[in-house]
Amino acid sequence: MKGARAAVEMLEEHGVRVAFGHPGGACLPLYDELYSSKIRHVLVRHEQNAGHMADGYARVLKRPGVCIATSGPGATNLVTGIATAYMDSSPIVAITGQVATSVMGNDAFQEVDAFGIMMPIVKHNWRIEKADDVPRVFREAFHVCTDGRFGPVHIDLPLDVQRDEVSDAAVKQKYTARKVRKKDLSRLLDAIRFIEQADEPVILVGGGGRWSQAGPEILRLSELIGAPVVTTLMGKGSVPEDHPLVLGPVGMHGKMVATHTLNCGDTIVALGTRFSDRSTGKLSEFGKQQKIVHVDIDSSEIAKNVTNVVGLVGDLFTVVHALIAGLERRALKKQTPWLERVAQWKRECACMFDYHGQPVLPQKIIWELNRLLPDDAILTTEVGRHQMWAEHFFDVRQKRMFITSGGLGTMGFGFPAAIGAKIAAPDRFVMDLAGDGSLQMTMKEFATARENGVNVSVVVMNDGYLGMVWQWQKMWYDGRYSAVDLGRIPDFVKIAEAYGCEGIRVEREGELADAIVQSQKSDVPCLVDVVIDPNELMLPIMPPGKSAKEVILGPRCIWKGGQTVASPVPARS
Amino acid sequence: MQVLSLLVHDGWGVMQRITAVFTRKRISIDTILAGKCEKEGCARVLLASEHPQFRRMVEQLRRVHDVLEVEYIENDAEAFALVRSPLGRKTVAGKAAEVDAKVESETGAEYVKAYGAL
Repeated sequence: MKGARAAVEMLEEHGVRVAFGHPGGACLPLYDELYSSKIRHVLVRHEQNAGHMADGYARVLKRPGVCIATSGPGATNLVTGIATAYMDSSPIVAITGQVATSVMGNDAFQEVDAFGIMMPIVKHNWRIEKADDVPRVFREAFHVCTDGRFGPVHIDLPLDVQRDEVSDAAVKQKYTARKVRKKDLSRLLDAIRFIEQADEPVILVGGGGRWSQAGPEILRLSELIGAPVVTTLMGKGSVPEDHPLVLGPVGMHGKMVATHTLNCGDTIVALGTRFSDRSTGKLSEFGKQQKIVHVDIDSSEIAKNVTNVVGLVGDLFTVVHALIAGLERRALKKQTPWLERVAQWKRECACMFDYHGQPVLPQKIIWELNRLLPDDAILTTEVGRHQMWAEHFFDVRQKRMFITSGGLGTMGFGFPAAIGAKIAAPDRFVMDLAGDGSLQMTMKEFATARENGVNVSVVVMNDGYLGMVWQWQKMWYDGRYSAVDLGRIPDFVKIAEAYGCEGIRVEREGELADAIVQSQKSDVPCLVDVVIDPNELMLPIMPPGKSAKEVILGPRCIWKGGQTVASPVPARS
Repeated sequence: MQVLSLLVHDGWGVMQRITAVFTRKRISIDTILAGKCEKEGCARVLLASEHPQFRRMVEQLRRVHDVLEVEYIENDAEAFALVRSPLGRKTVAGKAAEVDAKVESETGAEYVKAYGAL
């Protein structure tokens, strides 16, 4: 058996049904084997998007997504996709071709040290030197990327290794993983005591809540100890947001009720979060008065950003069960006064964002999406203000899912991720909420979507600017708008039509609902280009490097609780 | 001097993975020692630094797939040595001259030594 054949068989052995990739000179033997394999290959138009598609696929199925690229430029193009997955702990197996070992290091055609380039952005990577190693490395790779904290892995596969013979013994050789300590619950009793004594407990859920699918358990814990649940951007959707105890996202553009509750409580139970600066605000101000119980699967996250915590290491599902088991038999406080205060805050924060305006206001788009998307819809976003509007206002209720590039903030992530998500869950409605800047980075994938019959829909918030940067320049750089005007925006409707997809332009809010409904019915990928008001700011905002006490609310926010500074932005007439 | 003793897979690229952890955190390593060890396919690496955050790298290093064991050794000694004698592995720490003398006295035993770059 050839090395390439062995590689494909290993993919099949691990249940891989779809691979996203782009062929090239250094992975021809591999593609030759894929030709006769049962694995469905999705040809992308740019390798970066292969990474994003595998990422979106993995986030829906919680199983490794596979992407393939060739050596040299193929590998370097893949870097952004892999780094995005690394920051959001998404399991990806990335395979790159490489020049033959005989010429490696000689600056051969399309040679790049992919092994060295990928090293800081993967959990582990391998460069296979002889064909007999192929089965072991592939088995190890699939183990590593889903063992403990998920993360991408990378295999560099030289051309001659793909061509060489693999011995039968090597194929049959089973991989036995090294035993590593995964759990550390030695401080469980401390954690239970903290939670038991708490008068105002809050549960903060991060991306770990989604990866371990521990939503129902977290809600059980929350009901048991009488703690409201707030989420980070990555944790959004880990618990259904229509539950009365779930307050929504915290952080830079989070809901005021969530941020306020998190900072007012006396005990934080942090589940699967790494305390990113975008969630906490100024780190030295965060959690000063609170006792913090920090649960994470990765022991290096404990006390990394926020120190003086009671750390529990282990999979969220297991640890939350252990906490519930430990707390169940104790006489817990009812927490009625605390929950009543939180409920009052929640009412204070619940605004009607069904704003009317011409051009359309972005909040209105989210309002319509909340109303019109099915209860199992998947919403992906790119990066920018539209992402933050979606974070703030989109209602991830019931089985809905929210997929976004939180850690790395990769513009152009949403559209390929939506394609990956749709391939993973063909029966669900998948929509990408995009900005005009982000979409232009990856809109070539309309070709992939059309060709593979992946009927995703894209809603573009088209304001003609790189809105998030524009807003920051307005607020903190005295309105010196440097390089944020996108100038003449291409006609997105015509672009969609050029790729054989459907395009709808919306300029008045009355047309919005019909367009969204139409995009669900369309039998080709569908783009809805909505012209929005470019002067609408994404508020409230916790300014970068500032604490939760310094949130700028803006004229539309109805929040009255907590101490906040006056908005520097003039009220809109 | 703070010392980290690592048991790692023996192979190319391992040192790059280890030093990358310190690069990311902007920590300069004062002394690096690496050599083959008693376990087949493994190597032992000793790292020494004065950086106040050096100790917190233990958990970060555990994340590296090729690192099998990490041990933190805190001492005020100038020098540190790991000696393999017929009785087993033992550590020696103290003044540079003392450590040298102790290593000398273990005639013929294999050893690795680290000096603090003071």
